[in-house]
Amino acid sequence: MSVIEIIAYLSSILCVVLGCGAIVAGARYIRSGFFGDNTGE
Amino acid sequence: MKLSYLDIVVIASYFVALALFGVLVRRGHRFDDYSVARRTVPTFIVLTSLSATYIGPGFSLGLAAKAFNTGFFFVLFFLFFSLQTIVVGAWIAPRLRRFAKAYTLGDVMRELYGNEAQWLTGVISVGLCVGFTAVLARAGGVVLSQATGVQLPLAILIATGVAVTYTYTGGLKSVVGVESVQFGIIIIASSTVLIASALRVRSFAGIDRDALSLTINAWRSNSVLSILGLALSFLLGETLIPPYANRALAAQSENASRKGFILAGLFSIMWFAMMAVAGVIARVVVPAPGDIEGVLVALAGAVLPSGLLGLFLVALAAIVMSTQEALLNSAAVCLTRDLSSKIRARNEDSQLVIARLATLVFGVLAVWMALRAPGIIDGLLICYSLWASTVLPPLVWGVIGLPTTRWSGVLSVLLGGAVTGYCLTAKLAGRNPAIAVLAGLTGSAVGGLIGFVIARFTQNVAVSGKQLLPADSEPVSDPISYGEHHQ
Repeated sequence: MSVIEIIAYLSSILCVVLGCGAIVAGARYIRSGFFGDNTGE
Repeated sequence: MKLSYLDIVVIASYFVALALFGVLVRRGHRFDDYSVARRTVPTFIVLTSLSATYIGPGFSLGLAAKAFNTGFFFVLFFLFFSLQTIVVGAWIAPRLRRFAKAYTLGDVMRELYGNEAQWLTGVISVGLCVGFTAVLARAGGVVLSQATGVQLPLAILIATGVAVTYTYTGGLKSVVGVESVQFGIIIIASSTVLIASALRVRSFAGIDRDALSLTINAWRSNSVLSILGLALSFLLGETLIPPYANRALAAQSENASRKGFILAGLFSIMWFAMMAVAGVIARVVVPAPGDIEGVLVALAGAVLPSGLLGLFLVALAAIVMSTQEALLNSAAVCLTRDLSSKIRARNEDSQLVIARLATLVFGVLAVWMALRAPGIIDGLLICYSLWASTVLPPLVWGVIGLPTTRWSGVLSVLLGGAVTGYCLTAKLAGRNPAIAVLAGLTGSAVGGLIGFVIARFTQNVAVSGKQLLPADSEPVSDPISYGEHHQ
């Protein structure tokens, strides 16, 4: 396999995993900060 | 670009969801919610929000376009940005987090050098952030307009208006949460483009040879001076600009600040490689893209099915908006904290009201400048050129614990700014603005030195390892001793 091919596939797979994690983490952060009762108010 | 109904539904859903979030979200009641997210941002959110902030049009569309023409030549310079972010994460960001009552870099500068340094930092910070917000208002409008066919003025209004809505209501707390989701969308959509385009390639060996030859040609066609200039620009140009520094101040601990920055720097290496590979592959998949700057969009249009193309265009909007909302919040907080001691002396409720109003005003101003006053934007963007040679040197000097005096900070900012400004306006730097930055850094160092000489003659002698607060400056918090952990 060429270097470009490896970068294209490997980084894409890593990014999909990281991206899913970021969406979940962001949604949980928003929920706990603004829509839940975890604001300390 | 021809979009299907499904694509348009995806794009419309994104903007409606963000607008609804902005309207429905419970408002933060405290200024520290609005400015530093109550200093509770965990490591992973520091990583995602910082990455979403630095991935603007230049670090995505721009890099892919450069790679289309010059192979991996520019990636080498983008890596200096990665290096800078990692170095800041290892040594500067955790130390910034020790300023437990600072909301802005101006607050940090006041603690190190006094009130005048804070005011100067505030002026440069607000100018830089508002100028960039206006640039991005136009970029976001162009993306939306080209994708959906909506008239440009309306598109600018929608894109910036939605960003202003949730920045206004939730401040940095909602900004970092939304940025994390936007970051996810950006990297998933970009990965989809990359995989789909890689599947179209029959032989990667040819692309390898082509990329290598483009890179070598680009290297040979640039002088040593211009290569050094590029390296310096990427190394210092965006170091600790207000929206990045805010993440360090908002992190839940020094460790979260350190790890968040280092991970964001490491991620940027992978991101730059991906964008460059996309640009290089585009030479095979879309050999004549028309507008080179839009080569990534052309590539997505060529390889993605309907629905996924809509998701990619949402990612483009997210690339612009995630940077814009961070700048908007920073501009509002810097105005509130740095430019007037009278505002700063008010209670948190008043500061929150002023910061919210400033967010609205800067949002409107950005739209107006994007539509009517590009000259003013150019003027404000001078603050961007000044950053590395004015605020950055005394800030880093003081934050790492070296001795400081009031005059050294003020003169460092003023002399650095004057020299850089003169080089830029007199066009002494020619086509290489890095020369202006180098001259400015020298000016800044000389200014700092003169400050120490003045301090020596006025008996305000610096003590190694401690900052000397001027007698009449108002401390941001209880005096900080370096090496102590302040939470």
